[in-house]
Amino acid sequence: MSKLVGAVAVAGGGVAGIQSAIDLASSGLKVYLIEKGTSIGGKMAQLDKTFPTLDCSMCTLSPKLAEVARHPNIELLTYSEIVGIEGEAGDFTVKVKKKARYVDPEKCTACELCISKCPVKVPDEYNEGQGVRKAIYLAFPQAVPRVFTIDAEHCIYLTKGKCGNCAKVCENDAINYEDRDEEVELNVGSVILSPGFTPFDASQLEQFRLDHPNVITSLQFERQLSSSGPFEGHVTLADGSHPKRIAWIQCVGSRSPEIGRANCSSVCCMYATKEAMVAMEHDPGLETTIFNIDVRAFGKGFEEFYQKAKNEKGIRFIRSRPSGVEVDPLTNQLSLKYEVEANGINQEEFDMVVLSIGLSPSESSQQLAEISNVELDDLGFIKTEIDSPMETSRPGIFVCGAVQAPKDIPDTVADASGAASKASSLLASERGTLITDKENPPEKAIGDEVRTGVVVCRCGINIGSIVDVPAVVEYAKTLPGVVFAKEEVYACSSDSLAGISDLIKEHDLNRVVVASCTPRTHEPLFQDTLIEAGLNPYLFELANIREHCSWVHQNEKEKATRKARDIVRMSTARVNLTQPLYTEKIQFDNDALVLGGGIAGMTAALDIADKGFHVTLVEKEPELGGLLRTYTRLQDGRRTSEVIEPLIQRVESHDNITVFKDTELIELEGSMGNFNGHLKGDNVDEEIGFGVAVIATGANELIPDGYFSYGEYPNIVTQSQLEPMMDTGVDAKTVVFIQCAGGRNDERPYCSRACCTVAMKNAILLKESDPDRNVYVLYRDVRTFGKWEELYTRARELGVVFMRYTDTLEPEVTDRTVSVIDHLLGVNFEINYDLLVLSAPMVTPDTNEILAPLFKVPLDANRFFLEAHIKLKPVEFATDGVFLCGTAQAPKLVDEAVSQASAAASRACTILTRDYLETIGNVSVVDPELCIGCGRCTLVCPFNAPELKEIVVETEEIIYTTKKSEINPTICKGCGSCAPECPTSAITPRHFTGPQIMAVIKAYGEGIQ
Amino acid sequence: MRRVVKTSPRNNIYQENVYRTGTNDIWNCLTCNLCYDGCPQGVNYSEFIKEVRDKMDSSHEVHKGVFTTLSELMSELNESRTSLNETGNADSKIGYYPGCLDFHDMFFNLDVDFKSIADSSLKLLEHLDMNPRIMQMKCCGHDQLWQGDKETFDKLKEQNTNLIKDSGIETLVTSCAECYRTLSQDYDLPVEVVHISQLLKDADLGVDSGVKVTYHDACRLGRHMGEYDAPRNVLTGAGAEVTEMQHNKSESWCCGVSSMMNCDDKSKALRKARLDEAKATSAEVLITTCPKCLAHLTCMKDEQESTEQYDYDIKDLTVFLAEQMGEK
Amino acid sequence: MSEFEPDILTFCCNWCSYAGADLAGVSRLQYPTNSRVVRVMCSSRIEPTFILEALREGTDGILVTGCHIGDCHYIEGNVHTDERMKEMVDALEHLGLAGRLHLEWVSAAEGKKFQETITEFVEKIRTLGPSPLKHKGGEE
Repeated sequence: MSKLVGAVAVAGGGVAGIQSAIDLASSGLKVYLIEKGTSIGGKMAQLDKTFPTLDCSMCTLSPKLAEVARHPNIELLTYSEIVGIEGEAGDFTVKVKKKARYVDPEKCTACELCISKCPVKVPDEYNEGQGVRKAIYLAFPQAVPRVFTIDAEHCIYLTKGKCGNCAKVCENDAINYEDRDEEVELNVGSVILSPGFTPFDASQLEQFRLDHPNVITSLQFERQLSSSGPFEGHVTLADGSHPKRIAWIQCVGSRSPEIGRANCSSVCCMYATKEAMVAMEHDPGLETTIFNIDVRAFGKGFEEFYQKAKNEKGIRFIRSRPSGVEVDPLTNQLSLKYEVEANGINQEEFDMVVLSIGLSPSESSQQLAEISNVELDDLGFIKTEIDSPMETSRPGIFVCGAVQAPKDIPDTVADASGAASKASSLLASERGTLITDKENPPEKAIGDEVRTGVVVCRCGINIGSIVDVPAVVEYAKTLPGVVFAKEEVYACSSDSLAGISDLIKEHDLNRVVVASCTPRTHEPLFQDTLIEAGLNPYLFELANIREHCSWVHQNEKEKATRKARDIVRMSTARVNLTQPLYTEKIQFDNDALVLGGGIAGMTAALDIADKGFHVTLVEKEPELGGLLRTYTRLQDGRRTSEVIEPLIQRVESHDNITVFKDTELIELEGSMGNFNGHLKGDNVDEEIGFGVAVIATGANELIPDGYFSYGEYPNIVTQSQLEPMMDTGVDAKTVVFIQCAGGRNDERPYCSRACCTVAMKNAILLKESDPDRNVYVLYRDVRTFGKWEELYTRARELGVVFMRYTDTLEPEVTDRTVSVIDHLLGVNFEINYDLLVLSAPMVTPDTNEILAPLFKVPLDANRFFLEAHIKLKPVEFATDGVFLCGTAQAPKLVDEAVSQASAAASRACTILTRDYLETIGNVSVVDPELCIGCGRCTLVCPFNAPELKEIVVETEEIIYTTKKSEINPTICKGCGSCAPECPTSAITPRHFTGPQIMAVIKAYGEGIQ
Repeated sequence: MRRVVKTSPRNNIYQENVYRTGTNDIWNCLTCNLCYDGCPQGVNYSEFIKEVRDKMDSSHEVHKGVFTTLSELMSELNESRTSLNETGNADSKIGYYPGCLDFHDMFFNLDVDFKSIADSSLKLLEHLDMNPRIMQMKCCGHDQLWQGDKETFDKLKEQNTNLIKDSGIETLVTSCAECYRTLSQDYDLPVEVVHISQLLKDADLGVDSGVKVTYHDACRLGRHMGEYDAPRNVLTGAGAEVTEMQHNKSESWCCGVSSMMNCDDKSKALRKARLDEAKATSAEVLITTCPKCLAHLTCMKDEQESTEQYDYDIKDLTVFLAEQMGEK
Repeated sequence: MSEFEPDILTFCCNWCSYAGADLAGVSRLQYPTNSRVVRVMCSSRIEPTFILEALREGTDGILVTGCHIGDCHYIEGNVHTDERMKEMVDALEHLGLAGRLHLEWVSAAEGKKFQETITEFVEKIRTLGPSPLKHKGGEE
């Protein structure tokens, strides 16, 4: 490679692109995040809740949107498309077409005046065509960037030269009808493709009657459930009433080779279950039915969620796939015809039918693939290999998310971090070359006298037409500490910001209140202004008189004005007590520890080491390789040794990796940046220091003693025992597989995710090596999710016989026979087997119980490690500086373990690449004299920031040893949860101190009439 | 307090009354009366402190915890009450006042069931064939009085006094040392105020527990009220083996916190000394008669990562007795 | 005499309920003007004394809002809020101020719920009448 450029282009601003961008930008690389739509956020922004925890999707996503918007190393190019990629790994030229927005992003303050005056109504894409938006619009309320766009296709001015209302009302002169598309060239070292998926277009399957108003897609249903959706969260029929009976039809556009969509879409079973559950929460009398082929609840917590839905919530799961939706020509009533197992055909009426549409590669992603010159697979997804799931066929171009295969949010996020890791490894030498640190003027001393300035914003007519702004300004002048007050038309416009900076100097202000809109979007902007004027950013307070006042009290001008005065008084009371706060820079150890030398651990170690950091890799067994050593082949037909051996060799010969085998971590102290551990093995007794740790300790295959006569007869084996047998040839005419042997039961209620795919692979191998051999698979649900559905199809084509059993009617095994009831026919079958193979679930090693308390990280109910957030932080713990990947987190396939391993490395490197650790300003601090060392703070802090440290207290007569709490400022997130817990009020959450909040409460009290 | 903080009562009295310079030391005093007990001149320093504090602005000195605010609000609110939403036997001439036990349960966040003190007290009274009326009173105002907020105290006192007078009871039983001191010394009540240990001292509880215990004198019941024997007699009567700590009765040490003020590492030194003394007795249970002593001692004993292990239980007298009765 | 207008103090957490309140604004969902918002980073920052001081100031009602359980930006801060506020509800009952404190989870997407919560709580407090601590003068 001749040249390397320290920048990366990320194509697609959904959750995948967002995660890649944040990881890369936080590792010292310049990022261009290119998004086709007007806002980043992708499909996740449209979701109401996420399975299996029913978290609010927007709540978890929007902080990430804000992070992207704020990140100094990310340049956001929305409403833009890649039109060309030239060059090679390390040095690409990416051509981007920036579409004309007709709104100047520098001038638009998103005040929304234009919306009310725009006469054009367009079906709202955000709500999937349910409801309307205007021709000038913001994609959704939390959109990033907060800049309006004119939809040129529908704008009357742009199409017919008439109207021009928006330009007339815009007080900031932001409308520019002369705006034209422009093309820019970006020089980057790597490209990440993350364009996501497109929901399958169900209108092409006429039998499902999407033309009927009460047949909707699952994404439309999702919008209906959302309280920000078209019906404010109430599921609504075309006539405005609410349905009593809703049916979901699964696999619309999935598992359908006849229409070219052979893959399983991986997420539909769970989202349908979630949608049914949430809908029933809204309307407890609702009857919900999910028609499915198999319920594919394969991910972490999914099976438990499914069981809860079925057994506790009363959601009906019917194992049948209606061929279409019937509509009564006279009454327009919807009904479904379906097969009842061994019991003929049933027809049932429903008020609403939801089509669970699959995830398809989008047309634009196909074009992007073409422009990028990367190979696609048969299904149109971008092609990758099992052991390199983020690498496309073109070096330097990486892929993540649903464009690679249908997948859910956590897998997408892991992929995204993984792709970032790959790009970051490639460009490791160029870290920091294309980013610049901003120089700020020195801070002025603020003195003891409070000198507060108040700026009250009219926000055009948004505030000004409701709240009597001049009266609020006059009132503000009377408040304690206020030395100056004025109004602005738009406080956030660039000339006003410069004006605030001048005011600070002119009036020697040392506190500033801006009364305008929400701090959640505008606080950073004003804080920057303070910094530029030499004031500490914490000496600022936003009084929200728009979102919380003028907009919600439009018909009560007088009361709104009174409220605005109260809000300004409360904000001023608070700002008067604020103090400058500073971040702290702390030196740290930028070595890494990786625990576990399986494929996940080795991949993580290599990904970190490739970026130039030293890694200590610890494996408790005498050899590297982990669980994969016990399997011989991958699903793509390659031998596992082809993957494992080169990996072991690279790890063992890597300059930056020290390997300890036969070794365990037995002691640990410290926290992110400064961990100290004790390694102990037969020949090892060593203290090591490290800054971050990756837990990749894996899982084991359950020894299924007591299940299906395992251990009683020699011809009953597990999958991992079968695999080496196949190398020498299996001498068995009839082979029977039993799935879920020891899994999905009371003791182990989870699904082990990988076993169906593994069984399918082995069934095919057995059948291929001897086509006359009888192979039976006895299953509960076939969960060959995503692209692996093709293995299931192939197995059936090869003549493998599939028979379903249920947990209440399990197959019975003797030394030579298996008897099972076939549910389709309702007949008892007896199979004479030569070899019985049990698919036993993955279980956790006993060491989890030792490691979890050592790292102060939690385990889940099934004793796997529990990540910080099941959707958006799949490889992180709440404890900073500790990461996880692979089967330590949950059972998974090889490609998923690799993706997670790279992701964990990427997240770890966002720390290791720093020059120092930097605290936030508003951390909590402990007054050591008041602290009595009770330790309650350590119990409430989920991040383990407070730590009890031993100290000797000397009083006049009594000297004693005790412990006192110390809050680690590098870990503290400033939530303040610990403060109310402290019995002696020894803890002060900075910037939200007791006196500050009390002052606000007192100021509130002054307004009580 | 000399044990943990350099302080001189004489100096403070001079600064306050003679030189008129004032001193912040006023807020350090635990008002435990240990100095009074040993003073050859019989100077009641605690009373001095109480008077001085009332004249001072306490707002910056007192750690205004939730209990203080609760009492203040209670003094303003006609319908407020402390604990137990039960009336008991409304016709009884005996009243039982549980004090702030419910609030302790809400806000102390300790592994202690404070309300069980009330339940146990009622059980013991029942055993004595007393079926009391449960007094729906407000906070007695003890902390306000000693924090120098006489205004709030007077309001509480007036409201409680009226309530007691209207109730028609003749005897008021408390299970809390502070309530006992306050209601009998700082109130002016036409009824007899007794601490529950005084009713139980000669009673036959019908148990012979054999448990080895030690007894911590709460300042308010001990030195303030001179009641050292009743709790010990009850314990001995119930068959418990009472082993004394090094400092006991009139020389007993404070738990370290008074009127919910000044809990810090100095006061913890006292607590530590007290817990160590109890440990040295090798008693199985440390008994006290003040819910706050119970709270503060338990708080230290139950630390998350204690540097010292204390294997004994800490219990209120009534709870211990009721448990023994239950076990027989 | 005009109808009693309750004074309500609403605590919002930065990540969910404050965002929910913002969304109510963005969506122009109208609700009564009686509430004033105090923003904290997490609802678990709220100390019992904040509630009591607000009552002393004469507020007629207090709304504590936070993320739904499971949504907390700080993982489980709202679990502590839940525990603490349940105790406060009991404490207020002892004080004779029953019903004047209410805890509600409002997500960042629930502008509508924020609107409804404020509206319903204002009506509830209107029925309950003025706080007996109102006009007691707060600070002497």
